[in-house]
Amino acid sequence: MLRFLRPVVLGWWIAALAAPAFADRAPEWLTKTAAATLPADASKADAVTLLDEQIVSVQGGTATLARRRVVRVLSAEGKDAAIALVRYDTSSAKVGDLHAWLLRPGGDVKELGSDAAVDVALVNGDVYNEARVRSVVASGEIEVGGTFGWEVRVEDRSVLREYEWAFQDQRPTLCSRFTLDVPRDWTVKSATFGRAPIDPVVSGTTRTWELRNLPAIPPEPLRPPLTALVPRLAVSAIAPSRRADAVAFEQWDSLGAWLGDLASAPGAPNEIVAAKAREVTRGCTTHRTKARAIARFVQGVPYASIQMGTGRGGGYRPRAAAEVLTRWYGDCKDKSNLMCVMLRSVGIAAYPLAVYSSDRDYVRDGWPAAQQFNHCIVALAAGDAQGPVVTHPRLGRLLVFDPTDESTPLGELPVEEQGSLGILMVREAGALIRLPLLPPERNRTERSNEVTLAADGSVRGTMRERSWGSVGRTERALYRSLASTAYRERIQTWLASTAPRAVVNGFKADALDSTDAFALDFEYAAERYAQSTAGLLLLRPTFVERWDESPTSDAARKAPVDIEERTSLETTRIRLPEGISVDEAPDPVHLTTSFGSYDWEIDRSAGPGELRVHREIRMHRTTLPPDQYPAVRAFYERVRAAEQAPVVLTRAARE
Amino acid sequence: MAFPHSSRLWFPFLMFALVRLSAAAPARAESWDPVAPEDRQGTRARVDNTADVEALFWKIRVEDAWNGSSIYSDLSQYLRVQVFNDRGAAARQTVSIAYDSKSKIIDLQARMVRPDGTAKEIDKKTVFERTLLKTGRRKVKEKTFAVPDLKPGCIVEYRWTERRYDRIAHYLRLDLQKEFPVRVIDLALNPLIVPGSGFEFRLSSFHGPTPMFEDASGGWHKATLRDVPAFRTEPRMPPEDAVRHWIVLQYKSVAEPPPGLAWKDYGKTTAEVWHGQLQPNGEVKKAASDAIAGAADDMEKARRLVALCRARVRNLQEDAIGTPPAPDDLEDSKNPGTTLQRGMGSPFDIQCLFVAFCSAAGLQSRIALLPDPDQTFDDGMFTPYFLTGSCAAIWIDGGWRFFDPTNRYSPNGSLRSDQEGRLALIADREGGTFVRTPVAPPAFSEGRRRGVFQLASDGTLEGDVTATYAGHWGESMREDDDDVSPEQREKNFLEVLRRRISAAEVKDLRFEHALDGDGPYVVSYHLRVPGYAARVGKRLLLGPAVFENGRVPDFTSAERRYPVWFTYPWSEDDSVAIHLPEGYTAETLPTLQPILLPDLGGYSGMFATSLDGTTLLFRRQFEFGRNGTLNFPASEYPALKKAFDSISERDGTAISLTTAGSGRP
Repeated sequence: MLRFLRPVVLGWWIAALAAPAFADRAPEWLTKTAAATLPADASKADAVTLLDEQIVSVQGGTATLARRRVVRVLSAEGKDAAIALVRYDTSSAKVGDLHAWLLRPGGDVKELGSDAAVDVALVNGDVYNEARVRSVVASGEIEVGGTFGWEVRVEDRSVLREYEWAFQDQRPTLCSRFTLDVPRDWTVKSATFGRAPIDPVVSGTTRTWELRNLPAIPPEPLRPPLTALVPRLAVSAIAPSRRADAVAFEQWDSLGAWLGDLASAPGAPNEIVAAKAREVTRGCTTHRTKARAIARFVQGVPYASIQMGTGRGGGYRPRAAAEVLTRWYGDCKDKSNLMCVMLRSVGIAAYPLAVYSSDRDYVRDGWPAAQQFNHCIVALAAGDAQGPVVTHPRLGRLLVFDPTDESTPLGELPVEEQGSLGILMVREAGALIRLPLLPPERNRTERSNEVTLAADGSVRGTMRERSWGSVGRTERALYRSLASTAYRERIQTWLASTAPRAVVNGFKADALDSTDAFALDFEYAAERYAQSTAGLLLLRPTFVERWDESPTSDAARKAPVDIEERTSLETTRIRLPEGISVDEAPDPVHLTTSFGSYDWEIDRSAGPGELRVHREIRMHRTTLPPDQYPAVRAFYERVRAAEQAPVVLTRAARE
Repeated sequence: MAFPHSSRLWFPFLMFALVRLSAAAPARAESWDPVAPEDRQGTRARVDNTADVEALFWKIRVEDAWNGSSIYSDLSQYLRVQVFNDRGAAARQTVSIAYDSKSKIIDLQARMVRPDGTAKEIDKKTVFERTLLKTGRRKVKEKTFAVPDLKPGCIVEYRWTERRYDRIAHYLRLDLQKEFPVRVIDLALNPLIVPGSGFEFRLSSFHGPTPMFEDASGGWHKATLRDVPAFRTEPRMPPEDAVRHWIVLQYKSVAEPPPGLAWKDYGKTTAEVWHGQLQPNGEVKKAASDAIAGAADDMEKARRLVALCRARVRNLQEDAIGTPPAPDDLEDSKNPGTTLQRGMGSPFDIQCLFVAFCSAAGLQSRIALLPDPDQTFDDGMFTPYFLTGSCAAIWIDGGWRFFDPTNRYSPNGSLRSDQEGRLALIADREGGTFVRTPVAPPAFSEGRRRGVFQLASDGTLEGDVTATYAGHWGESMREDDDDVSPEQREKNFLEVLRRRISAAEVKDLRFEHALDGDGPYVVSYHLRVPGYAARVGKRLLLGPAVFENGRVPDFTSAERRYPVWFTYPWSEDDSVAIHLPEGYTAETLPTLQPILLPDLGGYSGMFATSLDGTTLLFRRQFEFGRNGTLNFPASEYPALKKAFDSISERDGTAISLTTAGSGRP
C-alpha cells in the first residue's frame, strides 16, 4: 500500500509546486483589455498604456470619479509604469477601495488587495498640506510582458467642477477616454489642447471624448515640457444657476471676480500692515523706490505653506496680510496678498495675479478655469518702470513681479512665467492678461577674465562675472541655498573641470548688486595650465564654460526643439611672458542662425605680449520644428569645438 | 563602554518585578533654560564660523521605564539653535519631527528668542500633525510647525519626547552629528537596570569621541560632548555610517566575556544554529560527486561546485531580469536539499548549499560572517549586529579561501569588492575565528581598451574600439546593468561616452558578458568623432588618449575633511593607434614622465610612431591599490590629488600634427 501511495503523494506534491502561484481572477474589463495586440510602433516602448479611462458623474455638489488604467510592461524600464496612483485632498475627497491586479504573461492573475495600498502625503515640504496620494506599486513584482490593471472610485466634494484629462503620458497609449455625466439641465463646455478639437460622443446625459493609438513622446534634449506635447482635454460642468458648491466658469472675467472675492477680505486695508509699509518705505520718495523696498521686504518673508480646505477654494484664498506679517511666513498667495496690501497702503495700486508656475504655455485662453493656475504673483502699477510691464485697458501699465521667487528682483520675471497667461484676481473686465516676454539681453552674463601666463604654462587670473535675468536668478538661488564654503567649492569645481590643478583664491559674491546682477569675483591660479611640449605651449584661451544643456543625442528627432534665450559676453585678456609669442591661433568662428549666433575671435592688436579673446553667444527664444534639431546640435558642436581649441605659443622671439 | 559602576551592579534584571514605577522623571523641565545674553548677541557660529546656523546645545535623554503594566522608552530631545543669516533662517523656518505609529510625541514645545531677549512661544494650535505614510502594517507620522518671525540672530529652541511603547533602548542608535555644528551635546541615560538581573547597559561609540559618563542621582548617567562639527558629504568618501559620529545603546549580560571570547562563542553558537542547514542529503551528495569527478585539486573542486551552484540555483535577490518567484519560494529554505530541488534560493540558502556541496566533496567548509559593507568594523568590540553579510570559507592548501557562489558578476566564486579586505568570522562549532578576506590585486580588475582609428584632415577621428573590463570593474558595470534592458544599456553607454566626447557617434555597439561574470565584460563599437582634433592654423592638435579625453578630474576640491575611499584595486591598459591624415606627421613626440606611487601602483604613458611615420601610437598603463591599499586619511588628500592631477595632465597631452614643410621655421 505504501509503495503505491508514495508516487501518488510525490506526484501531488510536484503538481502543487507546478501549479500557478497566482490563483486570483481579474475582472472581465481587464482581461479583455489585456488581450489587446500591440501595434508595431508601440511594441518598441518600455511600457504601453492599453487603457486609461475616467468617468465623472456630477450630482450637484458631489462628483464621483471612476478611474481604470491598464498598462503592459515591455522592458525592465517599463516596470515603473506598474503603479496605481490616486491623488486626493482629505478635506474634500473620499477614496474608495483601490483594486489592482497583476497579470503574468502566462495568464496567472494576482490581486493586490487593500493591504498593498500605500497612502502618503503628496507634498513633503509644507508645514501642512491635505494633498495625498494613495497608491499600489507593483513595479518590483511585475515581469516583462506582464500587465497591470487597477480601478478606483473617488467621491469628490470639491467646489470646482472643472476637469482636465491628459490623454497620455510619455508612453504610447492605445485607448484613452474621458466620460462626463451631468444632470440634464447643466451645460458642458470643453476645449482640446495639443491637437485638433475632439467632439464628444453623446449618449443621454453622458459625453465621452476618446483618443486611440497615441504614439510615445520620448525624452529628448531641448524638448518642450511634456504638458505642451500631450493632448489634453479641458471640461467645465456648469450648473444652470450659480451655486457655491459646484463652481465653473464660462468667462474669464467671472473667474477673475470669483478669485477676487476669495482674496478680498484678506486683502482689506490693515493698519498694522500699513505701518509696516510706511516703515519699510521710509526715505523712499518715488513710486519706484517704494515699490522696490516693499518687494524686497516681502521677498524676505520666508516661504512656508499650510494648505487647508484646498478642495473648497482654500487653495486660492490667501491668509490675511496682517497674519502673514505677524507670523512672518506664508505661501505664494499669502506673500502676494501681503505685498498688494502694503503697496496699496502707500498709494500704489496692486493686484494678486494667478499664473501657472512651471510651463509658460500651460494656461490656454480657450478654457476659463481656476484649475489652470497653481501659483500667485503680483501685478502692480508700473509707474515709469520698464521691464515686465503689461498694459491693461482699464488698470493701465502693470509691472509683474513674483515675490515668492527670492532670486528675481523687481523689474525681472522668472523665465517660465514670461509670455504666459495669468488672471488678475479682481472684479474687472479683461482679467486675463498675457505676461510680457523680456528681450534676450535681459538674460545675460558678462564676464571678464584677466590672465597672466608664466613661462612654465601656469596661469594666475582674476575673473569678474555679472549675470542678469534667468542666468543671474539661477546663480543667485544657488548662492543663497548653499553655505558660503559650499558655494566656493562649487566655483572651485567649475573652474577645475576645465582647468585641472586650478585653485580659487580670493572669492567675493553679491547676490544682488546695484545693477540687479548677481556679481561674482574671484582670483585663481592653475599650475601648468598651458601644455608645454618641445618649445611649444598649447594654451586654451577659453577658461570656463557655462552650458547647462548641450544636445548630444543623434537619435531621430520627434519633438520640436525649444531654445531658451540667453546672452553671454566674455572678454579674456591674456598677458604673455617675456620670450613667448603666438605661433598660430585658431581661426575666428562666426555662426549666425535663426535661433542664435556665436562669435569667437582672438584679437592680437594689443601687441605681441597680449592676447584678447572675445566670446559672445546670443540665443533667441524660439521653438523649432524637429527637422531643425541636427542644425541645433551642429551649432552647439561648433561652439564646443571652438572653445576647446588652443592657441599655439612658441618660445621663439616675438613677431 | 559600560557605564561607571555598572559592573558592580550584579543585580537581577527583571523588568516585570522590581520596578522603578514611572514616576519616571518628566521628560522635560518646566521652564526653558535661561539664554545667556552673550548667546543672544552672538553673530557668528563658534564651532565653524562659516556655518549658517549652530546649535548652542542639544540635550538628549533616554529613559526606559515601567508604568506598572508595560514598559516604554522615552527619547527626549531639547535643541537650541541660533541662526546667523537669511539662509540659516530659511533652513530652520520649518521644524518637522517624524515618528512611527508605535510611538507618541508628547510635550512638544517650541519658542523663538530674539536678540533683545524677548521670546515668542509657538502656539500649540499651529503644530500640525499628519500621516506621512500609511500601509497595511505601518504608519509614519509627522508633527510640523513653522517658526514665526525668524530672522538672523534669533534663537529657535524646541523640545519633545518620543515615547516608544513596549520597547526599551536596546540597540537604540543615536546620530550625534547634525547638518549644522553643535557646541554642546548633553547626554543623559537612565536604563531600566534592575538589581540582580545580571544585565548592564552599554554604549558603543563610532567615528567620534566616546562620551565619558558619570553617575548622577536617580539612576541617571550623564556625559557631555563639545564642538561637534556638522556632517557633510564629499566625493569618494567612505559610506556615511563609517564617518558620521553615532552611538548605539544596548543591554548586555554582565557575564559577557571579553570581546575575543565573546566572538568565539558567537561563532560557535551561530554554527550550531546553522548546523542543520548545512547538511547534504543524498541528492546534494550525488550532485557534488558528479561535479568534482576528475578535478585535479581542492581548488578546482571548489570552483566546479561554485559553477554547479550557478548552474542549478537562481539567486532570488539578483536584480537581473527574470520571472519573479512565487511567494512560497521566497520563504527560507530549510536545508540544502530543498534549495537544490527548488532551483532557487536566497543568497544565504545558496551559500549553505555550497558549503554542503563542499562538505560532501570532502572539503572542510564553513559559513563566514561578514561586516556590513557600509560600516567600519572593529573586532575589539563585540558588535554582532554589524555582521550582516556572509560568504563561504573553504580550507584549501592550509588556509581558508573565501567564495561567494551567489556572486555571478565576478569570476567563479570570487568575493564582491565590498566583501574583500574585511574581517570574516568563520562560524565553527569549535568556536568562531576572524580571518581577513584577501583583496584581489589590481590586475584582477583590469580595464583593457584598444582602439584603431583613422584621423581625417578635418580633425574627424573614426575607428573601432574594444574595451574589456575584468574582475570587480566588470562586476560594477554589471551591477549598473542588471536592472535595465539591452536598449537602455546602450543609451546609458552613449550618455556616459558623450559626457566625455559630446560629438561621439557610435555604430555597431555590442556587449558581451554584460550580465555574467564567466568572462570579462566586453564592449565594442565603431566610433566617429567629428572635430576630435582641433585645427589651429596649419596644425592639427590631437589628444591621443581617446579613452581618457574629456574626463573630469577625479579630485577638484582643494580641501578635504573625510578620508578618501576607493572600492577596489584596479589597473588600466590602453592602446591607441591613429593613422594620420595623408601628408601629416607628428611635429614632436613628448615624453611622458612615469609616475610612481610607492606601494600603490603607478602610471606610464608613451607616444611613438610607426616606422613610416603614418601612424601615431599611444600606450598607457595605470595601476592603483597594490597591496590592497584603498583608503586614505584626509591628511593624504593633497598628495593623492597631486598624483591624480599629474595623471590627468599626462592624459591631456596633445600632439601637434603638421604637413610636410608647414612646421615651425
